[in-house]
Amino acid sequence: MLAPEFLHYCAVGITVALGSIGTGIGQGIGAFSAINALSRQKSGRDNIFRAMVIGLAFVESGIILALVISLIMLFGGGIKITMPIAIAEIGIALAIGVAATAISIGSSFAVKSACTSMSVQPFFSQKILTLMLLSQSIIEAPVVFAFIISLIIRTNFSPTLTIFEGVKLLAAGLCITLGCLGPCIGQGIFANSSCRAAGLNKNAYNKIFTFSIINQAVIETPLIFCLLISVFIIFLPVPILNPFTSTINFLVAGITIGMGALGTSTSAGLVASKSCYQIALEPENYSILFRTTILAQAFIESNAIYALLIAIFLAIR
Amino acid sequence: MKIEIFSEKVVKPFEFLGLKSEFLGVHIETLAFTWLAMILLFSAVLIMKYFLKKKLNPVALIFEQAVNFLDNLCKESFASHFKYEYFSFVSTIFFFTLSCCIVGLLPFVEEATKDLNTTFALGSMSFLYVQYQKIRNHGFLEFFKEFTQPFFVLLPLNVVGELAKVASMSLRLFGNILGGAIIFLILRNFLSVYKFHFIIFCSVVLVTYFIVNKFIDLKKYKILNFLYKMLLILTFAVAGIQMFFGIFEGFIQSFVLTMLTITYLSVALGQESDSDHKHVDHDTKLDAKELVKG
Repeated sequence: MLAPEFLHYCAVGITVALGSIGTGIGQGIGAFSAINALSRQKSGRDNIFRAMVIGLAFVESGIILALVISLIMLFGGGIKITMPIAIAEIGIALAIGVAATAISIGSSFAVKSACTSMSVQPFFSQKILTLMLLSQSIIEAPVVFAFIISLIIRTNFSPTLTIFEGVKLLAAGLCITLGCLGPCIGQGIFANSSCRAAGLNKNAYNKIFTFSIINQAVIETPLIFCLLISVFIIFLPVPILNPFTSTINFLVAGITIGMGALGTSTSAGLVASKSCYQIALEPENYSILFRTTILAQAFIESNAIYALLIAIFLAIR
Repeated sequence: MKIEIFSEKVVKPFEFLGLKSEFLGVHIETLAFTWLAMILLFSAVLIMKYFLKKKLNPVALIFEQAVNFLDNLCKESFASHFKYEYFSFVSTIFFFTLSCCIVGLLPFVEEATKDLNTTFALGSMSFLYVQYQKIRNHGFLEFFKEFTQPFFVLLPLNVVGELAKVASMSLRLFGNILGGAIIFLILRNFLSVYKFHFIIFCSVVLVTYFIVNKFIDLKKYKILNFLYKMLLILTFAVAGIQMFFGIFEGFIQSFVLTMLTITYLSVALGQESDSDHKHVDHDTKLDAKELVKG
């Protein structure tokens, strides 16, 4: 009934189709806010236009990687498509498609608030552009990780792949799929407020810059855990005795860490964004705000670490 | 493509005595890398000692800035409770973790913090130090009373909550560093398949860039200049990824570990209340001076 060829061509389509949803929305948000900013402040026209072009190029990079993966799946050739390979390809498609959607919506918020800030402070736009580029390049990380995982999954394809190994590779894809959602939402919220805060108080720019570097690394932490579990799942062998249970274990481990990353990253981003506005309003209280934020994020992310612990135990069982 | 993740070489030194327990095994590679990190740290100290004797030189300034940064961080956090023994403990944790992470940049060497045992030792050390300071400053009775806050029934919950701090601190460091190491391993394995192609490509790009740059003014031909810059970026990207995950990630994670240690310690020592007012007064005085000047 479900032919492997059907799943294979579905995967090729889904990769680009899922990615294009978010890229369309993201570029719309970016361009809309750029035009809004242009109408508000005509003297900063060149700077705002440049920020929009560079920002939209960054938003688009997710779908370009998805296109590359899709073309590799379509014309990569040399492999006879069996059912396990088709199942694993669905995992690849979900991972790269969802990651592309999530990063493009997340990084469009950086463009949005950077354009607004430039319209408020046109003579400060060079530094706001630097902050926007930094935020966007860190938001790109999920799709790069998804790309790496997809390539590794593809190198594991062989004609002798059993159905259990196919499901195992699907689990590795699902792990990244779920795991990239939370960091992207959190990073998007934080990038929005950090670029806006640089526009509110340009004297606090240096503090906001260091604050955003450290916080973006902390928000991204659950994603690195997801990558870890995903690589574990790919390279741990399925035991010959009792393959069914261990395959289920791999699936559950992937879903566990993915779900664990979802809420924690989002709320770490929320905490950081509130704190960033406050730094812009009162830069003299920087040290106490910074310490409180790091402590709060440590408490929030310990939940992701419990998920990591359980996922490791499930994977190596 | 094969990637070795669980390739820890375990040596059992007491095997001839008949003790074959897993607990007595020694991860020989991690031990060697930790010693290497310690040698690096110690040589840095010796270099610093040599340069600090000379007056006004940039190397001493870098070291002074690093120490000053941690000193200010501790003074702000502990406020009235500040002692130099806390500062020395905190800075030891910071510099040791940082050197353990950075040691992975050397050839044939991997990060010592990639092993769960190292990070667990660091986490439990900071946890035990905090407990010790709590007992020393408040006494045994206060220490046990804190576990029975708000009700006596919550005693097991409080104990588990304290122990979870160790797990979260050590696993955060372990996960991040291992993730970075795995990304670089994947990249290296991917490159090793096309190793010769890559080396030839890199050398051709570099040689032609310098030759072309000598005979033609590249700034006139914008497209050619752009193309060469892109190729140069590609050749240096591999080194850049290792730099990112080696230095940046290592620095951030060791800083987070240090911040958490400072915060737990300052909470354990008691809340600062009068110090914040002092801080505000100081700032307003500065403002007044600037106003007078203006």
